[in-house]
Amino acid sequence: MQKVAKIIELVKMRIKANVAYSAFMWSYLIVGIIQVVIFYFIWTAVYAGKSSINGFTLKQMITYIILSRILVSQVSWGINIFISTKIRDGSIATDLLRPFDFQFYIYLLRTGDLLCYFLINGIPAFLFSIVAFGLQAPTSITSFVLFVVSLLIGVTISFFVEFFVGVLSFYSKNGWGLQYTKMAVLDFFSGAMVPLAFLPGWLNKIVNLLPFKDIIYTPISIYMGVVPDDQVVKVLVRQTIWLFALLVFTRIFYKIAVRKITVQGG
Amino acid sequence: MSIIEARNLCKTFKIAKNREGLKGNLLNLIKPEYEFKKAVNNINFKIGKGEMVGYIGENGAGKSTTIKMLTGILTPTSGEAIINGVVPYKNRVKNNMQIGVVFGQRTQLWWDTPVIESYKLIQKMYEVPIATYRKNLEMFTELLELEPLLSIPVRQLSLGQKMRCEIAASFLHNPKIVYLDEPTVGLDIFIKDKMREFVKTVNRENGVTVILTSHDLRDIEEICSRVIIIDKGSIAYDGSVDEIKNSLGAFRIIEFKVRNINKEFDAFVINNNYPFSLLSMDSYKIKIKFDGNKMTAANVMDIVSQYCEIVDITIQEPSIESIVKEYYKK
Repeated sequence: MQKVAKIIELVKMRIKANVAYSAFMWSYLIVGIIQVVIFYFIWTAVYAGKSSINGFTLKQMITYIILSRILVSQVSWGINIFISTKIRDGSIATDLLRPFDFQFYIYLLRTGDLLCYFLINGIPAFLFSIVAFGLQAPTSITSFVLFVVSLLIGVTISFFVEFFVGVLSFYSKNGWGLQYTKMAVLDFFSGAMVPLAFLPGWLNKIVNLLPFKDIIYTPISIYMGVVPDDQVVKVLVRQTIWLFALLVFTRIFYKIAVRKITVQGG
Repeated sequence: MSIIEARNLCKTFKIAKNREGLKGNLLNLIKPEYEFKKAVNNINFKIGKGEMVGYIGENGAGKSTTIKMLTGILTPTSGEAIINGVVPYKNRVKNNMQIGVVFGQRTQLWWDTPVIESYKLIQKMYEVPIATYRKNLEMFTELLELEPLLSIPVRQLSLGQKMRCEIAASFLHNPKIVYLDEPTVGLDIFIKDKMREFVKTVNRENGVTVILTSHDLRDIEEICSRVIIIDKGSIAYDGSVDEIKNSLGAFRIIEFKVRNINKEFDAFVINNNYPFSLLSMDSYKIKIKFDGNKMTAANVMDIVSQYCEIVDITIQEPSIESIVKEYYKK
């Protein structure tokens, strides 16, 4: 019980720290909505005079793009910068002294960030898009529930990717180069820019071997009913396998890296 | 029964050499050269439960590196640290539950939220029974005068206010051991006093073990009974505070602001057979170092006043650096 209480308290603390800056929060809400409006107009222009591109109708495309923009925003900044900044200025020392496993501690902070993000940016932008652009609704309640499950796995996979990138800066001591690389890789290989069906066949083969598409493409495919019903379980199992593989990998990597750390200053 | 034990503790840092010039910078990228710096070299000590130990040395002597190994932030290159039966860098979470740490230049409080929120989180994180938490909070609030600060976000506090909150936070969960790494840096004398009193009181009440590093000898004198001096990564002295003060720290430096120095003073300086030495002098200022075991400040004043008019005096306590230096001269 105490274990659960401290987890909840830490997530709550992170949310409180986030919402302490109210102007930032309000602008966050507005930016979220402006962003979906821009993407709506871009893709409407692309579809001018065409009824479908690569098998996607305009409505499907808008649904895909808006969902992907909302989902990719939760990873575009990320906890890796949090980690690398702390390594750079040495304040990682105080985080290593918290009575939590370091990775789990960072995961809880990110969970706080994520809840904030969905509440203030993601969900409002999603609801706005349904009303304003007639976003395609989920095909059924089951598919919506499965979408949420897939999304939670995807969010955790993106956490592991960010955690890995963050811990890499134990070696490089400067996280910005890593940050840009991460953003480029995720934008491209997760299907955040365009549906993966738009990529040439050989590139699709590479994408299929990587975990990144399970962060964004997979949950949206389930939402839109692109994944056939009998395939959904198989897809979720694949996501879960990636989840555990990355968990094991990042833990081993962290255990090795943490021996390297030199806390700067002080 | 010792609660902290350092056995042959060593830490060597690998530092990339920085070659100068564009050619050097490019070489750094392609073929980095490293040098190895031994920050801590074969340190051994045992500290008993409830002891308060000063850990002192010059800047760069290896104090903070030792503290970081004891707290588990750094892994030793060789040797071992055992804290209440736990190896801190191997069993981090278990060790973190039983210790409290203050780093003078860092904050463990949450920057954007009121202080009390950080305290509430500590209560949950360390699974402190609510009655214990309330009792501690009440006692700490009174000792450190925290009441008006608790509702203010940490980023809006002054350094002195922040450090008071910080030090309270590190004792709040009844840790077995608290490491205070330069907790009084940059603080005024009133706050320093308050913090010293606080640490002594909590030690008396809870029997907490304290390791303190500081450049202010008064911190060490007032709080600690034992002191470990570290120099160039090795232990130079480990013993009682009184002993080292009596044997080495008896000298004082006294500075006079003066006017109308008469001519005889020069002759006096040359023939001086008193147990003091003139460090510097000009027509306004005379600086003298004397041995406190052999004469008093009043004696020095009497002598100097024969040769000039004294406007003002200041007496300096020996600093830790000077004690360490003095120790090495011996």
